Amino acid sequence: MATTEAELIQFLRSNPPATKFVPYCHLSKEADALTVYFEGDPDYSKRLSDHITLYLSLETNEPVGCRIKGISGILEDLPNFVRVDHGGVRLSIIFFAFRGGADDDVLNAIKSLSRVADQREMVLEPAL
Amino acid sequence: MTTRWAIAFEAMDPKDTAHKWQVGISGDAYQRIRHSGHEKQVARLRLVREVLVSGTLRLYEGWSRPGKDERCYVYVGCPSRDYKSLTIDAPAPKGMVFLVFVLNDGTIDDWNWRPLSPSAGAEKNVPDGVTGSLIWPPPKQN
Repeated sequence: MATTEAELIQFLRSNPPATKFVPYCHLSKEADALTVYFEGDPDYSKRLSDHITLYLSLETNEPVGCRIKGISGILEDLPNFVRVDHGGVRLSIIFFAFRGGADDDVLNAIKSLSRVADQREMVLEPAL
Repeated sequence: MTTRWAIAFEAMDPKDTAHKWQVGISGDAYQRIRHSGHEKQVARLRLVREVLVSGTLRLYEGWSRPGKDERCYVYVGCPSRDYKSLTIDAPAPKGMVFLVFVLNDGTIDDWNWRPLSPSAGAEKNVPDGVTGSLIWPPPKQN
């Protein structure tokens, strides 16, 4: 059964979003991608590299989040390099893994993402 | 609404563009953006519907995922409005198209605006950084 425009609007109004934005990250095994949002501003996407797509505020062009593709290999390798406490990994460490071989634009974006992730103390935790 | 997905749409079937297939958003995915208060992401589902159901201008196969098979799809459209919330809309951002990313099983995985490619030449509605194989329109009609 397909959703009509009227059905969709009714569904969204009946299941509205929470009134306050909370930063979040989500790991999708199916897409092999990590999606991160620091801010809820209306945004657009900009592909930085094979691995990283930035989400940028339409108003300020500042990063509000990102999507990292090919994340499974990174996560599998992490325990070989980083001590993982309490089962979680600081998100800034994930970004750090993409610094190698990156050009200046990508490096600057990764630094920016890492800084915001640290400020927000965002941690990627395994699903229970 | 279906049991498989919280929200489902009929979209162009990438395996046979003359026909439709059902795509949708899982209940978990919807609850995640809902409980995070990601209002624009919720409201932009109206754009997702528009692009999938009646506004597919281009359809690509493949997301160029490192080391992964490419049986996933990108639907491209050009809605005239953007939705910042359920009650606030605005003109669409200039020089951008709206992308909907769909997995091989029909799961809608992501959606967002993307600038047009500066190297597209005379081709219209070509998004920047989408490097998959073009399925629609067929190259001869392009």
